[in-house]
Amino acid sequence: MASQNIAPEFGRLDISPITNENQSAHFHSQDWNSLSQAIEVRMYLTQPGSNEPIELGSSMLNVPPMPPVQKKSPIQ
Amino acid sequence: MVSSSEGTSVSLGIIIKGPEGLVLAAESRVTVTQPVGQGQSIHVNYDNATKLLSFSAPHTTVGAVTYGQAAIGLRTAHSFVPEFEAGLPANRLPVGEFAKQLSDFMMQQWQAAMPSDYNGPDITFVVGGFNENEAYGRVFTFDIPRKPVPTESNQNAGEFGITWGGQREFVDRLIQGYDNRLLAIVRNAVNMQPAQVQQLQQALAGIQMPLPLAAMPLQDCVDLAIFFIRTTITAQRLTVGIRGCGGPIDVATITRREGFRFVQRKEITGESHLISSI
Repeated sequence: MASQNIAPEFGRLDISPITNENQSAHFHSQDWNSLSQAIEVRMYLTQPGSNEPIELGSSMLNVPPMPPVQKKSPIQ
Repeated sequence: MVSSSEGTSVSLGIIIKGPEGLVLAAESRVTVTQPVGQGQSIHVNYDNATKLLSFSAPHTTVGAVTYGQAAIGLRTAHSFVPEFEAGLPANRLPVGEFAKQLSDFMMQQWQAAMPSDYNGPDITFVVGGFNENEAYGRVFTFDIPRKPVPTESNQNAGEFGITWGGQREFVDRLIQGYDNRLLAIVRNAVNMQPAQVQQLQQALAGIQMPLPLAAMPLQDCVDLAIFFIRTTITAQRLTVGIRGCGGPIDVATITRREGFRFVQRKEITGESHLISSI
């Protein structure tokens, strides 16, 4: 079965079962505008002699929440 | 790569098309399979095959990786490069035209040397390079002998991507988030209808590896290619299965400004290090 997965944030996969006739798979990136709506991208410039980064620009921002981390004792 | 006419695809090759250039990477294992009768075979590995191809001037803005079948007759694709270059024009070719000429050449060699009833894996070529006056690279794939017409990947404006092939299992899992056999297994196990399988597939799309290729610098694309191949080699080394990937990982970049450049490349060595210590 061929699979055509759409993950709107980052790109599209073209993956089929590996056979003698079909050995390759492909990832197609999402375009920048859609990508920058999904993640925050910030660009900084640091000048020589200064440790203060200057923000050049950013885009916003719809980062999907990470699943909560289940706190467990390190000793189970 | 495999040199017999039996079995499935082995080896692993990757081309990443990023915004700063192309990354080409391949491991170095060749697997020779020798039938020994009664349906049994011996597999022997050599870890110094060259699957990342570079070309002489003026074709220094293009390169290729190969995977699948290792040899045409008794010769590797790498060994054919000088003869192929001898037939090229003296001017730089567009990447698509270069891929077509490489495909035509390899198909001629295949028809001259391989049996007509061959039923093993294709030898796949992924050709990457830069056209003059274009900001981003181009990537074409063709398979000898079954699909010799080069097809371009990631050809839309502003689209980047990854093409990988050979023993893809571990890279498929990493990028897709699950083994490519999963949907068929689930479908059969619980007798799912096609619409339900499609629904499941869409639900699983969210666990895809989040790769913002459009924002990734060239160095990170290099690291990503090495990560995929090294992980596959290590996973094969530690598990039961066909160890079709191994040896040094050759890596090169192609950029608009600098053309083809090896990042890391295995070298022919002897025992001089032993001699000097005596």
